[in-house]
Amino acid sequence: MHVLIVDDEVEFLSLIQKRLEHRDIKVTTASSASDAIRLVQKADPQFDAVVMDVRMPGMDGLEGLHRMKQVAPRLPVILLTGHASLNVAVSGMELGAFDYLLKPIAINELIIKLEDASRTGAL
Amino acid sequence: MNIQTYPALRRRIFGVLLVMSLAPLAALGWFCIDRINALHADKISANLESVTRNKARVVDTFISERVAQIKNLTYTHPFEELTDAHRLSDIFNTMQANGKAFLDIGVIGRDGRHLTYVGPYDLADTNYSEAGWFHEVLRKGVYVSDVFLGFRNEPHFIIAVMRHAGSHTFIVRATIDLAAINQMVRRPYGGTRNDAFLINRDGLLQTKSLFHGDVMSRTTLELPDASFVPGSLVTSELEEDGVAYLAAVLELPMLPWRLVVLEDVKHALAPLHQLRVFVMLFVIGGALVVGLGAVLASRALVAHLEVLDRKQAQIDAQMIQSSKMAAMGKMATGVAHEINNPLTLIRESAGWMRDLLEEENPASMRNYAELSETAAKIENHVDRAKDITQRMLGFGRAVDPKQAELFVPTLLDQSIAFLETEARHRNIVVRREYDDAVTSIITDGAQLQQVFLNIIDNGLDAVGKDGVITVRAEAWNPGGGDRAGCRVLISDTGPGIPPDKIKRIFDPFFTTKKLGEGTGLGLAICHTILSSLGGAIHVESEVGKGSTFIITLPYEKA
Repeated sequence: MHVLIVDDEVEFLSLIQKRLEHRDIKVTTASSASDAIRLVQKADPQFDAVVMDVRMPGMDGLEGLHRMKQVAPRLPVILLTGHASLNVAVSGMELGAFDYLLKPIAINELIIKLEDASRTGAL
Repeated sequence: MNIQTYPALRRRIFGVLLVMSLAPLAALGWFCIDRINALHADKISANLESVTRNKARVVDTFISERVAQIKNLTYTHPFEELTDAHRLSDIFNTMQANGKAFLDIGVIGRDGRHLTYVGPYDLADTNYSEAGWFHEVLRKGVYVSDVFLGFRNEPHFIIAVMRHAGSHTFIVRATIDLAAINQMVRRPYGGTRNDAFLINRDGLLQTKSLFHGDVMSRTTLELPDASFVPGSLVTSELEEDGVAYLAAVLELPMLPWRLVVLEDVKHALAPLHQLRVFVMLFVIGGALVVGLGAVLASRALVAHLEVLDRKQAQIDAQMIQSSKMAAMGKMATGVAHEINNPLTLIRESAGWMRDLLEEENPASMRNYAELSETAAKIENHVDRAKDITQRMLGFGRAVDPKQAELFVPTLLDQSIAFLETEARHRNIVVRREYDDAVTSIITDGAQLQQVFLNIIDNGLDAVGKDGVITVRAEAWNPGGGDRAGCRVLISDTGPGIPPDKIKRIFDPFFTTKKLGEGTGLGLAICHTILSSLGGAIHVESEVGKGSTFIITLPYEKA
């Protein structure tokens, strides 16, 4: 499985990358939504799922999701959000997000959702 | 509005009301009195004039008739008959038959001596040749004298008529009974100080005045100057011995006399005075009523205003409170979100530590157990912090209501959790009795939580110390629909609510708490919220045992 993690918090990216790779999941990181879209557009490498934070400077997660759906409609996107932006997460679901996760996340929960997502994406 | 301004406002309203009401009243009173004065003065004056003219006509007619009578007698009877004492006596008696106007009668010769005399006085031998009237009658033929004393030494006046008959020249002279004139002039009318009398052109009284001198004396009154034109009438006001009079002076047409009629002004004005007193009493009474009305009206107005202001102040306070809560909610949301990020990093770091530790051999690592435990503790404490940030986020969300499916017991737990510390502190046990049949409903969690918090908090206040609050949740489906709603019963062991207050406890601004402690809006807001959610609230209470608030919620709002 190859996952693209998008978050403006670099430290978070590196920790998640380390923890997922520790569990044999290939991780690519992007520190902004536009970087992430560029990576997806190149379609190389091929991603099984995207995990994207909602609150980011510049292009936020929702807009990123919208653009990404235009580029790769079948690529499942999991939104990361704080509790306060729960409503935003719901809007994200309406925009076609696969699922959402509340921060702080539990790693096992993330892995379960990623597995679900990659299965769906593979169909 | 500042509390100190209410008495000032009350005074201002009172003042304006008083002035606006009293001014027309006073003007009306003044106008009435002025009009009455004018009308009455005109009436008195007209009345006096009429009385005076009537009296003058009576006196004048009387004198004219008497003169005509004597003239008749003189010219219709021969000299011989008139100088026959018996015959004259018969004629005199006939004349007097219709009214004793004359005192005596005599026939006087050219020499001034009585030829015959009929009367009560001893005047048969009297010689009038030197008397003033004798010369006047010789000169004029007919003469009416002023009042004089004469030989009889009593005030009287005479009518004398002269006739030349053949070789005889004689004068018939009759004395008028002054009492008859007096009676005619003084015929009583009006007040006790009213008076009427005759004066001659020299100002000597010809009839007796009641208060202003005897016959033939000079009156002390300063009468208006008469015009000497017969029939002319002059009126004026005068005063004597502190009594004010309205005087009318009329020149008699026949005689060189004037009729004076005095009207006692005070007496004449008595009805006017009474009317004036009545009007004044009416105005004063009106003023008192107006004053009282102004006091009551200004008090009622200001009291009403005060109540409105107080309510407005409470609403303002409530609005300030609401916006404060909204601001706090926003701040709580921001803070929670900012804290969430580092919490995420801490949790991930601890997780990474545990991931790495799992690869180590516990036996070869001296502090393996301690490190593993510490990483787990970090994760635990992050979870605790997460609880706090979530509660803060929940508080923030309450400001931004939304319909969602929720489980009422969870909401009750959250509400109780907020107040648990307070309850413990006051040694109040909060008992939970959740029926297994309770299922989720669709409602506004934040608003419903506000209701639960409010009622449980009220329960704590009611109990005070050492008691029990029971929170019960049960399935509620009175309509027997597919999905059940929920009924929540919150009971306390407080003093209960008296029946007279129970009807009003959901009224806005009704509070049993001390001034400043309760807005009286809590239960009113609960009522409003539940209505908007399609639910209801009511209370059952028994004084001395406690109260139970019963909240019913449908599965979803119809």
